[in-house]
Amino acid sequence: MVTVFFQQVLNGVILGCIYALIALGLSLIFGILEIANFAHGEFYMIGAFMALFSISYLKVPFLVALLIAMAGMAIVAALIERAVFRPIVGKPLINSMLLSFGLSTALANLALFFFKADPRKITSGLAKYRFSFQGLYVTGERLAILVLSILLVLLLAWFIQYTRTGKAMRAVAQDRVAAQLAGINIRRIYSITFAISGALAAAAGTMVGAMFFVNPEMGFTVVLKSFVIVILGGFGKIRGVIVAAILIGLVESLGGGFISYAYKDAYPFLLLVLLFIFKPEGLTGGKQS
Amino acid sequence: MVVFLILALALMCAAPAFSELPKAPVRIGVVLPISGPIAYDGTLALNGVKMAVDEINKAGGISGNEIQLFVEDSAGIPATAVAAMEKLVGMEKVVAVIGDFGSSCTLAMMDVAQRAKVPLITPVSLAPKITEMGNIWMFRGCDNSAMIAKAFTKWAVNEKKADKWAYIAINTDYGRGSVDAFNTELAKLGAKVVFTEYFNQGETDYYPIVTKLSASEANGLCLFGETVDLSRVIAQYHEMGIGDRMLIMDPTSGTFNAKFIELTGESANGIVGASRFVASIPTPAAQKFVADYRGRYGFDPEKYAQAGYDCTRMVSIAIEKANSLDTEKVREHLAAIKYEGPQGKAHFDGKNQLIIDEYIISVKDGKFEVVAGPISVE
Repeated sequence: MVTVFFQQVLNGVILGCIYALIALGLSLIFGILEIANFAHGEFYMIGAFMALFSISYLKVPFLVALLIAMAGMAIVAALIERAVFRPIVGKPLINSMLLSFGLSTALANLALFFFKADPRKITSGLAKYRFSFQGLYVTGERLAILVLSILLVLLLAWFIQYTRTGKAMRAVAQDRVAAQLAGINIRRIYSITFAISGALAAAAGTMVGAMFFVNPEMGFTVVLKSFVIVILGGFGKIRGVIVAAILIGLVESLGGGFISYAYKDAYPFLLLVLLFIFKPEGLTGGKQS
Repeated sequence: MVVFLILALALMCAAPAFSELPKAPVRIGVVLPISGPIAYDGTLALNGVKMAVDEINKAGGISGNEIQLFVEDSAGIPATAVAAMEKLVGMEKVVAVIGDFGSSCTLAMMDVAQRAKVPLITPVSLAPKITEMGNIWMFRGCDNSAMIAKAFTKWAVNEKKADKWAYIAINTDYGRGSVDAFNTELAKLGAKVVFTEYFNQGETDYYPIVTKLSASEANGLCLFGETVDLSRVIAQYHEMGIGDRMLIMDPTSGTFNAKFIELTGESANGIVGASRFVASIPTPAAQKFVADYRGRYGFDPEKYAQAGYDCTRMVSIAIEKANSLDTEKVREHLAAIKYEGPQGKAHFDGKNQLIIDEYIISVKDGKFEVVAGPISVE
């Protein structure tokens, strides 16, 4: 029973790391552009397809495919920001919600048209390696995903904390006008923010595509879950979002394993309701950082 | 004297029996979904029907009369199926109707069959109530889920010693209903159920379930679901390192198709299930049917084609035995039929449910092999 518990914890942490990658991008965009991007799930889906096609047509290894997907999606996300979102920056939140919801539907249906509903799997070639430690099992694929997502999150945290661009991003998040007065090119920051979130979403999509499936509908459920995570963790707060993501992963895994699997998808939302009742200021509380 | 007797006997046999069958084509109706979402499967059943008709006509037809087929498309929609049935019995004056595919369509057509007094035989519909409603004009020309449960549990428990069952089933009427049906049979055999979990269609992460399963004492894992969901269950089950601990069972053969093999690869090996027909049944009758079908259509037949073929054959035999186009007589002879087809022997029970043997199928290197059977379900 103890082994099963720790196995469920391990599963939950791996799941949580992937959720963190997706939710961080969503949180960044909201923090800096004040846009609720419902099309974020489609960034994740298109990224997964980029990796899938790189592997099946270019025959590149999994890691290279991951990098191609991240780079490709960074460019696509930046273009989408320029063409679709820039005109509505600073407008009421409802504008971005409706716009991104429409974009989400359009992108998902385009993908359905071009790639078909047929689910496909990214073959990482790592699933056949299996490690066991004290009765805990993990495949090479999942271990790689765990390590990669932790690395990516650390890289992002470092980037935002210590680089010049990262500092500029934080400045824009705090006060757009003041940042502009201080000489920051906020348009450039918008593009960079979208590019980073696109790349993170693509990384998550590629990993999920390797563990599960790639299909045009994969973005829908994930974006809702990511919003729960971002609300739990606090918009624009990196540490809060990471904690919330791991928490959701654990709740799903332990709840699914020990209570009832059929209601697995309800647990995160239950958590959200409880949070609103008992700790409405968010998990980590306080103001945006 | 002996020679004379033999001659006389031979003459008697050869003499044409008194026939009520008019010298005209025998009209048989078909209602199947040839368009719409289940068109592919519907066409498979129609393939079997057409092949049977051509074979019978080539061999001289029914007592010298050719079969004339009237095919109507139901598109899988009950209202369309009823309209098609009305047209067949009202305008085309058919002797019997073969159809439909989906249970809801067949259920809708049953009343028309009863009112018009025309035998209706479904090659595919599984809903138990079709043959439980006491409609004597309705026949089910294939097995049903209760029969599958009976045949499969007997084999798995007695032959494979799987006496502690775990279920991973889809959270629908089909999944929950199948679990109930199997539990009934398992209780009779004295086997235990130690684990039951349901999942929602389209789920991807089954780690919580398979992790929990790894701690259970089950020696048989029974799956009910569709191709894509089950492919993830199987892959993650193997990732958990418990691959050789349980007999993996898919009794309703949701995994026995090419897409499942493509998605799971080697993990599919060793899955067992039940089916009334697969192309690898080794009997000469089955192999002749498979060869003929492949020669005609270019690919192997499966259970829909087999059922379409068998239903058509049974109807034509009943008409021949009845020696009449009187639908009442055709119905009586169909109900009393002793049929032997590519799959094996078959007859109808008191409720017009076909009693047909089941085969146990196992996946080996992407192929579906017969490992046991035929198993009688009586």
